[in-house]
Amino acid sequence: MKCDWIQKVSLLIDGELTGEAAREAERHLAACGDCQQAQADFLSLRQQIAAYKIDSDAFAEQRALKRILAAGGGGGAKLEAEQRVAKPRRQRAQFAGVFGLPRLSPVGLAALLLLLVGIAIGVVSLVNVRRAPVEVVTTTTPPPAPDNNANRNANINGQTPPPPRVAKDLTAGRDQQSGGKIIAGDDPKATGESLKGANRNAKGGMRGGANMRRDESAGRKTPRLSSSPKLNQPQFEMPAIVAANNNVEAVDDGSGAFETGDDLLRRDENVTATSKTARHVEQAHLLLRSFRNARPSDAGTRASSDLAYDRRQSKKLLYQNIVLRREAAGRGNLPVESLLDSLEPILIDIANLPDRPAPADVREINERMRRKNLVAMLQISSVESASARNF
Amino acid sequence: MASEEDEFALMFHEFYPSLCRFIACLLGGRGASGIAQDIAQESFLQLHRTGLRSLPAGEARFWLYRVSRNFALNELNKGHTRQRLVGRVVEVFRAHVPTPEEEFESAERKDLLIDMLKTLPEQQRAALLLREQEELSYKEIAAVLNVSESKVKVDVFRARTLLRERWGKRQNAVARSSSSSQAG
Repeated sequence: MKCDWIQKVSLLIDGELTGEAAREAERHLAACGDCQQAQADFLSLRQQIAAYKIDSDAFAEQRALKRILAAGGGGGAKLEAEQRVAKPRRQRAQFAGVFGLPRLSPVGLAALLLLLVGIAIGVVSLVNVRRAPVEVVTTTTPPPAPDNNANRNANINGQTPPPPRVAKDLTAGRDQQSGGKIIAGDDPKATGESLKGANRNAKGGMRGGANMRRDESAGRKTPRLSSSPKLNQPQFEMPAIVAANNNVEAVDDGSGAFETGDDLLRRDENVTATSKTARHVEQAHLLLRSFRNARPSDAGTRASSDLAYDRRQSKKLLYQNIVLRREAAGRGNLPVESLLDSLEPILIDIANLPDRPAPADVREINERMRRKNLVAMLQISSVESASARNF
Repeated sequence: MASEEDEFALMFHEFYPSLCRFIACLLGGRGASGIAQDIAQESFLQLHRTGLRSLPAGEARFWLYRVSRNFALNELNKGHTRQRLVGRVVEVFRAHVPTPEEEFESAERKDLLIDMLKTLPEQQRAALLLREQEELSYKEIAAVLNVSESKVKVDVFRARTLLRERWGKRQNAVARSSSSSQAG
């Protein structure tokens, strides 16, 4: 059965509830599982909708502005004429902009196309000529161990040692998914793990992309979910790279202990979650300090705009706070969870302040912050995470 | 003091991308981005003709959203657009349950959610987009859509609930399909 308060939850996350109504809704939310789930789903939807991007072209944008400014000043006839030619001209301008040429005649364009086709054919045939002997070399003569080590190290450092260079280029260019043919020559087990890890990670990323609900039992962060491949790409690639690097290191150590794809994924997620939380805590610390230092007596003038910024920032941080707190709870990270838990009501109160807040309201929030010693706690947490990052 | 043209340029750079995104989502993701750019430019052209300073301070942004939405509605009302949308709605609600592979392919087309967004009534879709993407308050949304604040409140909530339900159903279908394929 659906809870009747879900609409209030919708209003609450939009910052449309104030004062006692907001507090009442928060109290209910803390006790109602249905509403908590609804809140998480709504916030997840928000993230996905807000993350939707369309391709933009700064050059075309600038052109459009110029055209509008030029057309807007004229009369109706000029404007209509401008609109009629707007599209072809934009396309031509974009084309010219790409090649850095002011304008191309049809003959010039045809010559340019022919030249491009010739270059493309030349490049393709050159690549084919280079590929054939290399394939023979890589399949018939496995390279000796010391060279492989050098090659592996080069792979890690991003350098290219002379002898195995062709092989590296070949594997990188031909088969990105295997992502480690050189290692395959050294240690099939390691490559098998690497492939499994990479595949599992890729699947995890895909599931994450399609799954809106949060998998709290696994402590896995899923709400940053988007159907956009641009957003999913790092989720696919980063764990795979980590897996590949890790296998390389494991071979160098000779310890024989390999992390599974799940371990790597978990470690990667933990690192990401920790850095996100650290950034969040830093931002919250700055916000609360700024809020504490705002003078309520100035509420009518400059401070009101300062507080408007604080309110906006607070609203933004509130969404993050909810997500991060749930993640921390899922991972069983009690200190972070309790810190974020005590931060949340303050953020809600600041976010829900009216346009011209009464000094008493501001003082009350400040007093609560002081009682909880929140600014100091955030500062300590922020310093700890900063030193952890440095060492 | 900045000239009106400078102010206009500043405003153009600030709001043009988000206006394009709003219209593209309102019309429907695939192929809509080109139309969205045309509509956004047309809206800015209207604003330039009207004169930025002739509008009350802070009103220009909402004016732009209002005008561009009207253009987008005109576009939606054109026959070919409607047919295209109906085709997509049918695709979203097609009877057969898509396999996980199809789901992933669809996700890779980056507009799974936008496809669902398009199935919402236009008023709800516009209200939700203005809220989630442009972060307008209910009062501001009401001014843009020319409706009452309480209608915005209801529209945003209904849009969220519908999307949540549909998304949940889709996820369940994917989970069932995935588990049956694993069992097989």
